[in-house]
Amino acid sequence: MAWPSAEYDARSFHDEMVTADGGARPGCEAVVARLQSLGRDLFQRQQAGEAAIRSMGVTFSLSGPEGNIDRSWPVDLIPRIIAASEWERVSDGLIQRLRALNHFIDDLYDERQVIGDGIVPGELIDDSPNYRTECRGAKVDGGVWAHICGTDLVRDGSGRFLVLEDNLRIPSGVSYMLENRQVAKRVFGDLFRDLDILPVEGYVDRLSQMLRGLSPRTGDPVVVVLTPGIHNSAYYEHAFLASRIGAHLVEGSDLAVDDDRVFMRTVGGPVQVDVIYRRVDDEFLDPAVFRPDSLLGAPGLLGAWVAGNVALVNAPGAGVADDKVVYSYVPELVRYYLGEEAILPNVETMRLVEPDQRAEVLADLSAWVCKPANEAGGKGVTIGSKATEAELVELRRQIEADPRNWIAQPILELSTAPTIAGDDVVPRHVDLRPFVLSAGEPYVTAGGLTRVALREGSLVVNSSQGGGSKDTWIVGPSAPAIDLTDGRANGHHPTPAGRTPADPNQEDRSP
Amino acid sequence: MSYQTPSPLLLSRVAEGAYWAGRYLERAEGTARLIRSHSDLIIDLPRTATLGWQPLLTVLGLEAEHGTPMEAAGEEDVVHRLSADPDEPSSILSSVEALHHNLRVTRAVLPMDAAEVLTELHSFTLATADRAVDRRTRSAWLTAIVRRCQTLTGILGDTMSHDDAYCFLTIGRQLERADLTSRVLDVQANLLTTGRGEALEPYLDISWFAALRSVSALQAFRRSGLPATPEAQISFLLRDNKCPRSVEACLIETGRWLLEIPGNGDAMSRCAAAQALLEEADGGPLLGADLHRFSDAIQRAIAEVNDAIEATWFTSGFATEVRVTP
Repeated sequence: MAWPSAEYDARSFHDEMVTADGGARPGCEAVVARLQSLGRDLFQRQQAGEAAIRSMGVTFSLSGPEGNIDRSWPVDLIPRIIAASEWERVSDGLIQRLRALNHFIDDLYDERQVIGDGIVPGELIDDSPNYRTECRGAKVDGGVWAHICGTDLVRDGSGRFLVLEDNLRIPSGVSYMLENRQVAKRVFGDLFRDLDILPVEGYVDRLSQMLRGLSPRTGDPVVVVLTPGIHNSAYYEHAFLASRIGAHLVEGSDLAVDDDRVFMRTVGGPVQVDVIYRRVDDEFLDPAVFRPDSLLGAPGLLGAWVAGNVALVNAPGAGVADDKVVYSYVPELVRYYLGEEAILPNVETMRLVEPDQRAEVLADLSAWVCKPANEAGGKGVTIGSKATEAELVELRRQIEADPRNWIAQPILELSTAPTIAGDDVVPRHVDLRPFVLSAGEPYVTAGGLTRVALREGSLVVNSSQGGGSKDTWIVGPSAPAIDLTDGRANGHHPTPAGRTPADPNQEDRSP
Repeated sequence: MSYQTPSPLLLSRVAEGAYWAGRYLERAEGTARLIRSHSDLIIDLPRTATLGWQPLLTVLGLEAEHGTPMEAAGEEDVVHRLSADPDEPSSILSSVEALHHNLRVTRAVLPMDAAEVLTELHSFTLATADRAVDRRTRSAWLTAIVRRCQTLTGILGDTMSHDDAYCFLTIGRQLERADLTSRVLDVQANLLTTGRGEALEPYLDISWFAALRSVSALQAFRRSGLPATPEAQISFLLRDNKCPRSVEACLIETGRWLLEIPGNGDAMSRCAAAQALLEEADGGPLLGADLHRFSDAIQRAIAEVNDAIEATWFTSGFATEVRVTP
C-alpha cells in the first residue's frame, strides 16, 4: 500500500506524522514504514483492537433520553508519536505550570498577596463560582491543592505545543490512556519490540504512592476513591483506578463523619478513612456546607478536612485556578511565583470583561472561539466560524449580559494525525491530555491521552461528542534501560522521576 | 510495578452487590437448566400426557399471565417469559442484567478476567435471548448460558481473592441453589398429589429423572446405587451431602463461608435452624402433601437466612458507637 496516499492532506494543517511533502516526520519513519508494510492488514488490526476493547469491557457512558448507555471506548489504532526530546521540554513546562498554579491557589486561600500586588484583580477571584470561601485559612500538605491535573495541550499551525486549558478539579481519562496502551500492545506487539516506546504503566504506582503519602495518620492508610456511582459517565475509570491502586471504591452513602473524622461503613463496622481521592465535584462533597440536596457526599466532610483528619484529593477550592479567565493570567503567575518565564505558552486569550478586548471580539464573532469561564467537557463552547447567525446573536447576548464569564480565543489550526476511517487513512484533528501528579516528587505521564475528532473537519474531541482516542507513543532515540525488577524505565525518563540525584543514567540522557 | 494488598475490610454496599451477584449468577444458570430439562421431559412424555409447561412457572413461584388458566400456558409463552422477557424478573435475561448490575458495583474487587467474561455473558444474552423460544436452537442456547455462567463461577473461584467479597458471593450462590432445589422438589410434590400425577404414573420415573437432571444430580444419583424410588430420590436431593446441589450440601457450604465473616451470629443460627429442619425429613416418607409442606418450610428457613444476612451486614447502617481502627 502506498501510504500516505496522494489524497492524504498533510498541507492544510500541521500533521503529527506526515510532512507537507508527504514524507514521514523525523522520529516517525519506523512507524510509517511499518504501517505501509501492513497494507490492508491495518484495517483488520483495527477490528481486532475494537474487539479487544469490547472484551476488556472498556466503556464510557453517554446520558441520553432513555437513561445512560454504555459505549465501547473508541480507539484508533494508529499511534500518535512524540519524540522523547520534545516531550522532556513539555513535561518540564507542565511541572513548572503546576508549581505556579499550586502556589497561586495556596495564596488565594491565605494572604491573597497576588491580589495585593496587583497581578490578578480581586473581583475576578471573588466572583468565581469555584472560589470556596469555606476553604480560607485551610492548610494543605506541602501547599499542594491540585494534586492531580489533566492539562489539555494542542499544537498550532506551526507545530508548537500550547496549553489549551488546565483541569484542576476532577480530570478524567487516565484509565483510557492505560487501556489504549494495552490494546496497542495486543495488536502491535512487534512494534513495541522494535521501538523504544516509553512505558505509561508507572502512573498507577506513582498515584498510589502519592495518595498514601498524603495520609494524616501514621501506619497503613485507608485510601478510598469517592465516586458519584455507577451512573456517572466516568464510573468505569473510578472502578479501574480503585482496583489498580488497591483502594475502596466508595459512594457518599458509604461514608459518615463523626467528631471531624471520616468513617466508611464496612461489614466489620465503621473504619476510619485517611485519604479520599474524590471524583465528585466540590459542590456535592458536603451537603452541610455546599449543596444541601447532594446525596453524593457526606455531611461534615469539609470540617474533617479543615481539621486535618482526612486528605481530599484534589483539595476543595482548587478549581478556582481552572477558571478560563484565570487561565489567561498563568504566564504572569509563573513569573510572579517562580521568577521564571513559562516554558509552555498559552493560547492567545481575550478577556471579555475588559471593554477594549470585548469590543474587538464582538466586532467579528465568527473569527473567534468563545468559551464560558467555568464549564468542562466542551460545554457552552461556540466556534464562531461554524455557528449559525442565530447562535452568534445568542452568544453576543450572553457575553454582553455577563462578560466576566467569557473568554475568546482565535480559531486554532489544530494539528492532525492519520486516523482510520473505514478502509482509508485520513487526517483528523487531535489534542493531548497529559496527567501531572504534583504532591511530593512531581510526575508527568509519558505522553497522555490523545483525543481525536473523528468527524472530518471537526475540532471537537470530547468522547461525549463523537471523539475517539489514540495511544500516544513517546519514542526515544535509543533503548531505555529497563530494570526488570520493577519494570519501570530507570533511564531516559523525560520527567524529573528520571533525574533524581540517585539516577545512574543521569549523565547519559540525550538533550 | 509493586502491588498493594487491599485492606480486607469490605464495604457493606459492595458486600450486598457481591451477595446478589452470586444469587443472580446461580439463578440464571438454574433457570437455564430447568428449561432444558423440562423440554427434554416433555419430549419423553406421551402426547396424551397433560403435563404441559405450567410446572415450570410453578417451580419459579410464578403465576400464569393474568386471565389465563395455568393449564393453558403454552410452550412458546412460558419459554419466552422465562428466558427472554425483560419485564419478567425471573427470566434468564433479567437475571443476567441483575448479575451485570451487581458485579459492576463490586467491579473494584473483581478480577479482570471475570470482568471480560461477564461482559461477554451480558452481551451474548442480550443479543441472543430469543433463541430459547425456537425448539431447534433452544438446547444449544441454554447450554451456552450454563457454560458461560460456569466459566464465570470458575474464574471467580480460581482468581478472585477468597476474601469477604468472595464469601458473600459464594453464600449468595449456595442459598439460591438450595432454594432452587427445594422448589424442584415442590413441583414433584405437586405431580405426586394431583390427579394428573396418577395419569402420569407410568412416567413418574422419567419425571424424577428430569428433576434430578435439572439440578445436575442424575449421574450422581445413579452412581449412589440407591433404588430409583421417589423416597430415595427425595432423600438424595435433600440430604446427600456429596451431591453439590442437595439442599443440605448447599446449607453446609453457606455455613462454612458465613464462619469467615465477623458478626455472623444471627445468620449462623438461622442457617443451623434450616439444617435442623432437614433432619426431620428422616422421620418418615415425605410424599405428596407432606413433601409440599416440607419444601415450603425449607424455603421459608432459607429466606430467614437471607433476612439475617441483610439485617446484619447490608442494612444495619452506621453503628451508633464509632469504632476507631488502630
